[in-house]
Amino acid sequence: MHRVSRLLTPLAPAGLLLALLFAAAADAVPAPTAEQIVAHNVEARGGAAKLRALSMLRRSGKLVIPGFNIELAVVEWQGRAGEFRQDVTLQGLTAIQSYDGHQAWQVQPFEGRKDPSLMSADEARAMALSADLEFPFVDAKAKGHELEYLGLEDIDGTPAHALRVRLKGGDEATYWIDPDTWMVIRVLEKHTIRGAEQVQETDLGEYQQVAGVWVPMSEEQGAKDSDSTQRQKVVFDHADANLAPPAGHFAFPDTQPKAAAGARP
Amino acid sequence: MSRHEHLIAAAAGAACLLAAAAATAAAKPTVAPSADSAVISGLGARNIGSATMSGRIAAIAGRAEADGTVTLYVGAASGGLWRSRDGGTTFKPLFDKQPVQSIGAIALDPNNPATVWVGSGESWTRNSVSVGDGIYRSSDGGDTWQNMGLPQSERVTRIIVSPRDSQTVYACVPGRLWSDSADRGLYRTTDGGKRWSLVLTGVNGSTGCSSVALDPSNPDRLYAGLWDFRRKGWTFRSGGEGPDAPSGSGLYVSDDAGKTWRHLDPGNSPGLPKGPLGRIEVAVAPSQPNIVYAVIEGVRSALFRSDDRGATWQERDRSNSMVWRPFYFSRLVIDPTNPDRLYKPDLRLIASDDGGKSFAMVSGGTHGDHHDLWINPKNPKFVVTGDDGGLWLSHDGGNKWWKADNLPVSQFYHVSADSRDPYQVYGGLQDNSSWVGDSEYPGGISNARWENLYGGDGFWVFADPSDPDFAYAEAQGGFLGRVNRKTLESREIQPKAGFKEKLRYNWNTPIALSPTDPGKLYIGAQFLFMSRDHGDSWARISPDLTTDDPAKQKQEESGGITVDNSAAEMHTTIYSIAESPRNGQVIWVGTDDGNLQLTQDGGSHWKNQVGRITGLPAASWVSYLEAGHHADGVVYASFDRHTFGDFDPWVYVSHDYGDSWTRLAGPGSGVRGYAHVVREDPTDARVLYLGTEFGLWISLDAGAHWAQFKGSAFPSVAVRDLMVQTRDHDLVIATHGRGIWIIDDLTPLRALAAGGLEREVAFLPTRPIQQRISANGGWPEGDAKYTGQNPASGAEIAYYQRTRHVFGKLKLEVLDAGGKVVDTLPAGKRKGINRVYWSMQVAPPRVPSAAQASFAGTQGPRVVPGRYTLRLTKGGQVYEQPIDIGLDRRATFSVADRAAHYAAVMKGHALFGRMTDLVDRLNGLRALTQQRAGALKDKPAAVAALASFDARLEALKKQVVATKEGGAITGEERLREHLDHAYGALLSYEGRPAGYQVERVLVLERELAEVEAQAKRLVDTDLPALNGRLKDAGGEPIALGEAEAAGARLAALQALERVHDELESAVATRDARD
Repeated sequence: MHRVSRLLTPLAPAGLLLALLFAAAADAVPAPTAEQIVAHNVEARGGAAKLRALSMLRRSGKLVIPGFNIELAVVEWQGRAGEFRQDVTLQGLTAIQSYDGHQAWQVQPFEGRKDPSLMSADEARAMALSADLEFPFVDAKAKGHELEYLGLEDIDGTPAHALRVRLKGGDEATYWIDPDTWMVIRVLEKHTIRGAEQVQETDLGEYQQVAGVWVPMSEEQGAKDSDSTQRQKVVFDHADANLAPPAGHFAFPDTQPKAAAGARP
Repeated sequence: MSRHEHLIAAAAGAACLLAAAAATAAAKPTVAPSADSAVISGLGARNIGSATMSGRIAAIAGRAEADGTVTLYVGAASGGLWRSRDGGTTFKPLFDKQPVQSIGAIALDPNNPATVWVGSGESWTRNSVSVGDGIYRSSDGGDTWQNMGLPQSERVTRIIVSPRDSQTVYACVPGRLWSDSADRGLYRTTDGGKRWSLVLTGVNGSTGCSSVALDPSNPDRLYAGLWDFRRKGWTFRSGGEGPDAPSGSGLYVSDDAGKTWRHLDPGNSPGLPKGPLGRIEVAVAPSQPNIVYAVIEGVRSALFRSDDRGATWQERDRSNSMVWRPFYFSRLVIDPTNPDRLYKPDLRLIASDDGGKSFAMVSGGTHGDHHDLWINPKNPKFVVTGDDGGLWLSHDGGNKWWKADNLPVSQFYHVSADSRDPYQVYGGLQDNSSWVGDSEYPGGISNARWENLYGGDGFWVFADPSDPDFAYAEAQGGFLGRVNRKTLESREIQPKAGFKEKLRYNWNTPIALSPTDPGKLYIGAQFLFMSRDHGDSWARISPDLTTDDPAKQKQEESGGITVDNSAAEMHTTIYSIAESPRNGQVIWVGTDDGNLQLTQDGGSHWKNQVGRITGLPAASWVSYLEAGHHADGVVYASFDRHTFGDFDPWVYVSHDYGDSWTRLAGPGSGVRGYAHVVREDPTDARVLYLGTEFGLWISLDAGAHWAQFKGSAFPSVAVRDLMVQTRDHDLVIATHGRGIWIIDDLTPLRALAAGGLEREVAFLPTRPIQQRISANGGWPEGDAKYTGQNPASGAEIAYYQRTRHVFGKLKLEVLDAGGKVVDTLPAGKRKGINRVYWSMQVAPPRVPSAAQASFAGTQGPRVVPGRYTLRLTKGGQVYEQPIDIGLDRRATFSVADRAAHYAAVMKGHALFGRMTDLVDRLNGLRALTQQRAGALKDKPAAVAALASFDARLEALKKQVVATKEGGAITGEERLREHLDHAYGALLSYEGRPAGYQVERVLVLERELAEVEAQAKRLVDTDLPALNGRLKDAGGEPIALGEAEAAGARLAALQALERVHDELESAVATRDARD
């Protein structure tokens, strides 16, 4: 199972106006700095205050896997403390990938096993990026990341600002931001897993406001430059802000056999 | 009329208008608003390869990493730069977004592994060589690039980064191939590429740099070769105009990082050969820098070695493979750990272990025509070489070779397609023969789906339209053959010369099929020949149609110092042939020396119309002719003047048999690069396709405006030929460097030619939709094999958006004839044309949860062919469009059979649902039973009764679904698992189902009915008794409705993955907190 999500954000009317003004003036001013791009994005998504107020995001919808024509129910949680969990259900069997801010684990039940297993530190690092309730370019320095503005690049006919983030753990992600709306429309993640680079590209869209913050409700993920027809797609139809997840929702389940009372090691 | 209805009506009306406009387009082209690259690129394209016949590799660089892996950078002659981080198992293209695809040199910064330098423009300057546009640097290992200048360099042979200072870089630039230029020689930068200085230049406008080497023990000491070289369309020279003619070539040395240079000659460096000289390669042994080697082209071409840093020299090997075609093979690579072991990539790869005294051929099973080589410095037995056939890897020092089957950099000249279903694609490649491959194959178009038909260099290849068991193919110089597709026997059928006559066949000799008579075949020398009997006989139907200029027929003198007459420079020949699809008597012929000839009586009379093209310089190479499909007298002509140093497109149209012409593409038209091919869409005269050295352009307004096609990251690669497969409306693209690509279904594009670009959203028509038969094919071949992409499966849905969709839901639904929503699809968001594919399947059945997934049960059957409706909702506005689903053309069953199939599958579909209902009820009863047991745990008798009842419920459930968990192959088959098999069998074939398969579902239905009856008896008889015991114990009875609700709740939890539970908990927590 592949995860097809990570948290994102958006644009309020004031932000849109600002964006339009900025875009109109773009030809007359020098190339923007990375910090300016980030500021526009934060403002467009709803402003720093509303972003900070978002402590937990839960989205549900369906996951469509190309080629197999399979649709699965999907629920994703992302928490301010760096938690992430994605549950994908088919015929009452639920596959889970979860990260509690420290370690990642999974359940893959479709061939008869429902017990959880730990994921590698490399995979956990990749999931940590998915957990970022804001994009990592927001407060990048405080998060230990390095930010670089790469310029305008063509994204399927939309000239978009490219921001590269060299992540604290050594991985990298590039975000393309539509200068008209200041929304992120594409993400390219590069993770080193067991010494090999893995690259995945995700297109974001159908932004919807949740608690005053614009979040994407559509994500298409596949190989870099792959066609839409080759990508798995998540379409969220519901999003909630600041719900409290069930207790221990992100933590690795305790599956060790309980010692009998009075037993000695 | 409501607003909704109004919008629907408007959309339908627009669709009608589109259709009407398209119908009239053929009669009278009209100018439509222009469509930009973003609009058209949403069509997408797919690369079908192949990597079996890869393409010429011009440059290789590598690095042995600290973790034991090997990183390779591979520069294709015309297919971009590729990187492997796994020692050659997989490759990733790095140059797809750059404006050129020809790679001449690669250098890895020895001080910083993230810095990579690439010189664009290959230096193996054969007749078909591409061009570059300067030098590039990447600071992230090749993921992103910055052009660092030298825009007029055209090609780069070598780049060296100083080991002492990464800011100091040398670029060896041979310069413009086809014209004089001052932008050539050895360049140096000391600020990382911000500014470049030309530190070594030649004596004339045709002498540039062929080689540079640096002494690693003294980075200020440099050796460089200057090379005097020039190509024309009909000859070339390496060195001067002949073996004794003056040449600007020479070997030079600098001891001050290039500030000053000393010319090395026999007078000051004994042992070196006398001039005039040709191409020179120089290399320093990394492990012992006092040893310097040079391969020098001269009247006595040879390898030379100096053991004293160039002060004195000794002639070493001068075997054939050392000195063969010096302009094309000149690289010399020394083992970084052994100064006496060196490789010379050439026609064959040769290696020496004795300092160049003797060489052995080590090509093994490679293709041949080697150009570069890399030796792993940490393991010199690991050697990588590139030749005209691709990339090769050896793990035993060059004795045996693996082929990289993952580099689809094939260099096609031409392409055609037949009418099979799926159609097959035919094409000829530079030095890689003529091939046929599948346009589609179950599991993907693997390398093995391509078949070699002929030999030599390949060019035009066609299926014989009069006999599908045969194909026509040719090798260089017009060696035409008729190939038996069953036995692969090939009979040569090239027309032969008469008494004391020489026929002049171009390197890329045109052969053409008649569009009006499937039995007619043409080939051009200086005369046009026609055959009506598969080449059994030929009629010469023209006089010499060329200029017959004797000055351009001296190929025996071509080559400069080393004679080289391979047919690649044959000139004053016919190069393009086009018979009118509207009138077989009208034939257009273009020549490489600038004539554009027309006959309107099948060849009896000819007239040269090129003089009527105002502004076109004389002798311009006619690269392509396309006779119009939609009106008499229409012809499109592209001219290629790059052999005169002019890289602009020259594309014209005439509507009056060539009496007057209009230029369609030139400077300022938005088209970049010299033109190879122009084609008119066979359905809509407004739609034109243009291939240049730098990509594919499309016009929707008969050439008034052009937009570059960039869909699916289609690179700026040379597009040498194009054809429309008229049955499937696909554009098949022959690239010279990235294989064959296909744009599936041009119908939406044609619709946009009718206008409507100002609309916010609009559905676009597509080709007729088929339920293509599903099939299995292919097999795992590992990660080191290329597999070409199949067309997307499903029903094509096309629509246009004026801008990218960012905010709010974009909802795309499919409705059946009753208006019921059959499916909701993720919609495309991009600007311009969007394509979405509907699987045509109904929702999968509800399947009861069990130990493992029911895999057949993840699928619903495909709908019965017929009319459905698309509904797109955007921003509160609704757009609708009907679509008609048809059977696969190849289907041997009818729509009635499909209806029978659908009904049978839906029986199983419904049975899954009944099972789910039963299991839900049982689960509900069990949940309440266990809940009651918990509440009455101090009443042992009641608990025992509840446990007994629960055991009977569990026993019933175990008749329906497998319950053994643990992940093993339990072999536990219950009703659900049996139904999964039966349902899957029904799904596997969409014709009328076999009776025994239908019966099997009925049998399972009876078996399920038995369990349902047992459950009913349990509820009717045992439950009341249990409730009596519960009542006696003071407990709460179990109500059937409550159980069903509990079952439904459990089912909901299963289906929605505990959503409700989570939500209730979460909302309660939030409410309590707030």
